Amino acid sequence: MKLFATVTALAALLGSAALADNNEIFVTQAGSDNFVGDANNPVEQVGSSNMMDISQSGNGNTVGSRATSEPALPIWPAAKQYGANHDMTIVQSGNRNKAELLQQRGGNSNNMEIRQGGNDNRIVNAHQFGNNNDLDVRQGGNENFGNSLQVGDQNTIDVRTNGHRNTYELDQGSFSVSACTKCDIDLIQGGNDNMATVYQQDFKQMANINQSGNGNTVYTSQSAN
Amino acid sequence: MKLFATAAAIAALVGTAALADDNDLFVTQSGNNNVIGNADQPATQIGTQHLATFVQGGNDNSIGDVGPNVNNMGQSGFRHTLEINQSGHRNNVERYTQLGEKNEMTIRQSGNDNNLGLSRQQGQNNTADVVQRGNENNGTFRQLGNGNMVDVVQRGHRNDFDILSGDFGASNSCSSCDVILTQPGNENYANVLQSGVSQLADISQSGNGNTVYTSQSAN
Repeated sequence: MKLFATVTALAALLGSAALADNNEIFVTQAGSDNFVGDANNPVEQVGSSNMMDISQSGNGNTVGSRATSEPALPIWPAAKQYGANHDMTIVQSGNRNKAELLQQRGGNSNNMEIRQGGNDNRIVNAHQFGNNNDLDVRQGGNENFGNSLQVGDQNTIDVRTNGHRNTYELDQGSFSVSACTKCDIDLIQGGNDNMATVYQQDFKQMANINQSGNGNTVYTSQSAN
Repeated sequence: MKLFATAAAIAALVGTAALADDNDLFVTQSGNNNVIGNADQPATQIGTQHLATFVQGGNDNSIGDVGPNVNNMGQSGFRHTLEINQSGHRNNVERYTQLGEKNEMTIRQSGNDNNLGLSRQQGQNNTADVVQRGNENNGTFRQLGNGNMVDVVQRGHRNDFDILSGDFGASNSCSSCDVILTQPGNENYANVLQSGVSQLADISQSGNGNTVYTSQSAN
């Protein structure tokens, strides 16, 4: 009986570990000046294998907000997935949109995909903590800005910007005890007067930066620690 | 147990020393007036066995820039590889530095009016391979340490190159260092200064109106 109970308990444990939560959030906003989540009331998923899909098609929309009008509020994060195997997809097709304070942490194998199709859009602090995470960003307009951070092992960042006067800042490793080992960056900027800043901390890193226009600038640093 | 612990500690130390950092950096810029790194935010790699490949296909591009902190631009450590290819005109590589041992630097500039500004290697067994194919190009290169080698070819006309193998200070010589400089065109200028022992300089000019200044000194 004791052996049977042990086997049963082990089977139950394994069964629980294999289960995914499989929660899904779909938000679609077709107008302008809309919000999804802010620092005080973040859009949030906790568990594993959850999906967050946010689509905003107007102008001046925001996913995540610093709540700058209420400085006493917490500023971090505003859109968050905590756990493993999550997918976060944000699509903003207009102008002057913002995707801010996005975070995936507490697990591995998370995917974050951000698409911004207009001008004057911003991606601020899109962060992933853990291993085998992927960040995939496309910005199609002009004068867009983005910055992103990955900490962990074997993470990848893929960024494409097609317009002019775009700026993107990428960090793999935080240049303290939190490094990023065997992490890759692939950054392509197709227009003019773009700027790329790429910092990588730890070993077996790869950064591939391609700029095809005029007046572009690259700043880079790779360090073992 | 004590012997085991000591052996384990040595194994761990050797293992750590044998590890390479193996970071790779590839930057490709195909337009004009592009920049890779400058004095305040230089393109740097620190550690062992890194690779940096910079390709600029247009004109008036720059790798490194002038300024008070420009000496920070470069690779520090061991067994690094730097490859620079600039195929246009009026391009500039300014003060790129490799500090350490067994580093390799390969620079190709194929247009006219290009400049290689005081690029340096400091350490042992470093090699530099420079080819400038156009006209009116110029360069300055310096090596300090032991067993270093620099090989420069300027294939056009009215080019000039200065090579400092050692900088003639008390502890900044370059011993057993080799300089190979080839200028097959016309009206070229070469200046080669070597400080240290067991130096070799091989300078070849096959055109007309060329000039060479050289000096070799023990210290």
